[in-house]
Amino acid sequence: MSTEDLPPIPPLAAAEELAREGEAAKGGPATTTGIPGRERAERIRSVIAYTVMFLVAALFAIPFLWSVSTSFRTLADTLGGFSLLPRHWTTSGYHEAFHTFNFGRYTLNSAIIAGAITVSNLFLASLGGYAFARLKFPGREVLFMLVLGTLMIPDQLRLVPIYLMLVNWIPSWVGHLGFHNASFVNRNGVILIQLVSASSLFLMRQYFLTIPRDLEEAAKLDGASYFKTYRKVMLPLAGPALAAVGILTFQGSWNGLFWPAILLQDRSQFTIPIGIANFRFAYTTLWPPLMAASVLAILPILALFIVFQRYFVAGVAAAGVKG
Amino acid sequence: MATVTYDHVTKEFGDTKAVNDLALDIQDGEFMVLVGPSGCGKTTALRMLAGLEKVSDGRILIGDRVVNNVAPQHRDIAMVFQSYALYPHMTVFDNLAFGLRNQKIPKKDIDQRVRRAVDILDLGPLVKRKPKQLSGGQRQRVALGRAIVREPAAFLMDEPLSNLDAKLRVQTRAEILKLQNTLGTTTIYVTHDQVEAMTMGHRIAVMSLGVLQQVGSPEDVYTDPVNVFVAGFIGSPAMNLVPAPLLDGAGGQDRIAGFRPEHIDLGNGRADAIAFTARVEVVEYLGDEQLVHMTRKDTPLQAKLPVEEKLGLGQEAEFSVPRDKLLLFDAQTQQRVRA
Repeated sequence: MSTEDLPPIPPLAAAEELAREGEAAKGGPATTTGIPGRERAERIRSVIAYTVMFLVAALFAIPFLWSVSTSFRTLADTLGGFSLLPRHWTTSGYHEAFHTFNFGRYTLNSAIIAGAITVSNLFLASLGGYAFARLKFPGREVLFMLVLGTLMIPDQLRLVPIYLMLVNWIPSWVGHLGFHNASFVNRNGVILIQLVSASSLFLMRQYFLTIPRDLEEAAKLDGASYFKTYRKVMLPLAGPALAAVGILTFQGSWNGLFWPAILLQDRSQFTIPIGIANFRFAYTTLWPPLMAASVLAILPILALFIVFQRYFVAGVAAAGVKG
Repeated sequence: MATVTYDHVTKEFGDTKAVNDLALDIQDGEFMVLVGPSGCGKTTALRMLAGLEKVSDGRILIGDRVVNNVAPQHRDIAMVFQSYALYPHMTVFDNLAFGLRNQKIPKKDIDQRVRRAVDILDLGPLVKRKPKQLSGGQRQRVALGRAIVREPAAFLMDEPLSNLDAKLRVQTRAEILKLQNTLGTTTIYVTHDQVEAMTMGHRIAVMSLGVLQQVGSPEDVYTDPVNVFVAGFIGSPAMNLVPAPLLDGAGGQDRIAGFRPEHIDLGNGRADAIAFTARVEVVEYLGDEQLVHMTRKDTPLQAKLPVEEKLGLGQEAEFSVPRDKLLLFDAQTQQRVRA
């Protein structure tokens, strides 16, 4: 709508608008769009911003589109130089991924591991986050700093101690459950060491800090215990943070390669990333099935993100607002 | 219902005494208003009674029971928060029933008590709504309902009207008073608004800097303030507090003279009045009366006069204050000096 189409502005309203824009004292025109210099500057800013955003988006999108395109090629086509679209379209890559490489089994294994880790993170991180946000106990801040400190220790550094613990200590503690060294250091080990992460705990704590304390005090006066307050009042209000933790954890463990590659020794328990790595051989790489498996592996994450996107953004944003 | 006693209660936050040696007896069924400016310790006093803050020193009694170490839910009190603190994910019904369910009260009794509160507060059509679907006034009524269903020994209210607009505030003020009259429950009401305090409380406890300044009926506190703080805080517009020598014959250098704007008359007035001249600066027309801002020897004064008295801006006019309406305070101790 152009300014000519607008109804005439009553004098008082126009004066208020001018005052708001800080233009009244200058005696400038009634609307900001009428200022040629400012309009040009804004247009240039927009063009620069959109160009940068387009380039960044392309940087992320092109490799992804290229993998989708490769998944529909023949092996020979993948060796014939770069082209965005396949020369000969085929679904043989997908067929091979499912039938030759037992993709279904890998998917199930990934789902079990990612599902278990996600559920335990949601439960433990929300409990711990609530405790760090609201319960007063001696050493709370020091303990929280220690938890955050674990984020700075790379997994490669923890590898040997964790592996030794999983092989030597834990099976001896839980030996009566029928675990032997080798059988425990498999799926159970991968799940156990990722039951709760410091980042999940941090995200939940930050979100709980944004929930008004009055609600907890009201619950206290209403006779709710700490756990009941957590379960009945705090947790239902933490939906966005739970969505963020859920998506981030599921995505992390679904795509995780490091710990599964170290700890999964039984081939029947391999996850998708390990399965995908198996498409590479010493002298050749089977690009079409590798890319087909990669594309399929993305779908659950994509679906999860689309469904929970709104909460995810709100959760991450809120967690960042208050420290 | 029960009495509430603050027995020389102190609350310290580090080196700061938020409440200092508070001694206050609240009678069974009484509506007591704690009033004072921000940071005077009134909310801390209320939160200590609720059990949300620990008492540093002294005792708090509800009835005959010392409650210093009793958990909030076992104190038999209900609190209305300034923010209402309604559970956003629960319906109005669930908000009202939450506390009763935690007490493991039979479902039939819960329904009955919630229905009663709903009827009293006229919340019938709203029971299935969530707080975000309610207006400010409706939320306020639900918050009151949550207190009513508990059938507590005492209601604690922490500035419950401060989030409402002026019109709704007056209306809700009357509703709370009616409710308190009907239920006869001991009520401790915290506000910084002295008009609210004057209109609602059986008695008012005025606090400043953590110290209780004066307790009494609204009339007592208004007409017979014990010190300069109470005299200046209670009443709107505020009492004129000026060095006594400003008015001829009022007192010496060591005295502060206090007189209410409505006690100033235009002209020489009665024989026992102190007359003075002042320069009219601004006149605010209030409909039934006018508020005149004036200065005498650069000291600002306010007078409430009938609208019929015509005064021009900049005019030097003669005013008077009856001697029996003049209060004197010690300039050093700020305490009232009685003749």
